[in-house]
Amino acid sequence: MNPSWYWPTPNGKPPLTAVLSVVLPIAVLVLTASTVDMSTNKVFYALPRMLDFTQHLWVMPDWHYLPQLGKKMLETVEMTLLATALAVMISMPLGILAAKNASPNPWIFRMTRDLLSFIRALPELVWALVFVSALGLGPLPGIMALALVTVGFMGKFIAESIEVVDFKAIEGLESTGCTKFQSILYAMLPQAVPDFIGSLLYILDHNLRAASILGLVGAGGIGYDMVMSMRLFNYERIGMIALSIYALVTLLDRLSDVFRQKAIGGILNVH
Amino acid sequence: MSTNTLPTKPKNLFPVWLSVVLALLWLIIWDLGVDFKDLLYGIEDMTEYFSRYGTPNFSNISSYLYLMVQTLVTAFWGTTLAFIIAAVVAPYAARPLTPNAVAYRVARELLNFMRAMPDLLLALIFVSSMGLGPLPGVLALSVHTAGFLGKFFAENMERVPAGKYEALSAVGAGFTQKIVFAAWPSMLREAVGNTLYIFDRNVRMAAVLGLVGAGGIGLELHDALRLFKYNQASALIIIILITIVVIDNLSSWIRKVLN
Repeated sequence: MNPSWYWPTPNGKPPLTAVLSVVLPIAVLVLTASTVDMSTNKVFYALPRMLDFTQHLWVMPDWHYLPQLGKKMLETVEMTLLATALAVMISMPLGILAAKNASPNPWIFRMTRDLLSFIRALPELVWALVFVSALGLGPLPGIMALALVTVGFMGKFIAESIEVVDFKAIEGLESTGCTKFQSILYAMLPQAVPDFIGSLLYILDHNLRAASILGLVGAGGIGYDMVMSMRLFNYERIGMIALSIYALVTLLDRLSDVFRQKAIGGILNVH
Repeated sequence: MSTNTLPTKPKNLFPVWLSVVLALLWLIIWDLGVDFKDLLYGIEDMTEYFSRYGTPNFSNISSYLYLMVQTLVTAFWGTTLAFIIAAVVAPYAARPLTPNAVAYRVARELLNFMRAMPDLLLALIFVSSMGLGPLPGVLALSVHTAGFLGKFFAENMERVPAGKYEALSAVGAGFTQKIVFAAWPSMLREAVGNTLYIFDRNVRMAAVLGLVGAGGIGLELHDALRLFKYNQASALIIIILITIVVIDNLSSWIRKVLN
């Protein structure tokens, strides 16, 4: 680590870098407090209303809404899976082109890198807004928006996991006179698989969360119902929706923990 | 006579996995009723539609820039509050540090709960209880990302070599002392990396929080698209894009310097 962080210093005073890294953020926070209306007054004023809101949530759930809820949650999951699958298909070749050791030439490498970072710069909801106004309401614009942003992230992750593979396997294959394509297929990709599964699980998790709010702009999934019941103070439904999102996200979280350990432990035979 | 038995070749399960996945996808497409042919047929309309974004209108640039700054500040405040909450909760959720099993479970579940609530849902709740403005956005971001940061910090604390905690326990250090002198110094670099990642994420998220009335540039974009002012929308998108790219590069630069 940078020696300027070490404490105690020879002269006994706190190191300058450490002091600056505490003082600067605090200064920025203080200076910008008014921009975000941050005042303890307002926060405390809101507390009773928060409590009020929480109390309202303790009502009998609206059981008639249950089938609709199930349908919307299923739609959310389906959007997540479909968008992720599409993104994986598209980002696989892009990721290979964007990995320094697998890319056919430096220009293509740079261009794909920039393309990927351009794609992932904007959040899903912005793309969803654009696609909804282009394609109309429904899950399709949501899937498009999710898949697009996911391509940006997934491509980057794939490229990074290909770049850190062990060079020896590649060298071994090249010494037998294999082509570039063969060395990518048989030396780089198999080594990148555990990493790749890790990032896939991460992306699935991220996409499920994103898909559950895309409905906000009319792009399918549970989000639309959530916003509507929130706006109409439909407390019987808010609780149910929030709980089912919570349950789903937690379930995926636990599943992906188990799965990740298996994939990294090499129990999973994927290639 | 020697029996020359090779180990059995591992089964190649890839075709099986692939066909299961493809069947599932087919089922999903059928169930959702999405038709990707719509995209192909609509490609002319789409190109026409996207050409409407062609001439960005920067006439309101100063108000856009103010909104962008507000967005950044929202993300910064959200990240800082999240950092504070996470730093307090994480030691209880880290196995080598937690004082007892109950505290461990409670802290884990708390972090899990915060992580599971989508920040836009939280923002909706906060907006309805404290009115429009960036403050509910700050709180929503901080609650949601405190869950992530807390999990990251707890994992980092578990990855610190056990000897460090042991050494401090041996000289009689308490809970707080172990956190301050063993956990944080060893995980500082990862913690900074995680915080930067969360800040990046929060900038993106703060840019869309405006959709639910929680301040920032999102509301302006939403309104522009609703009123079919594509030129202003494209100006806003360009501003958001540039800001996010700059922040991304800045944080990866900081990460590089730290390593």
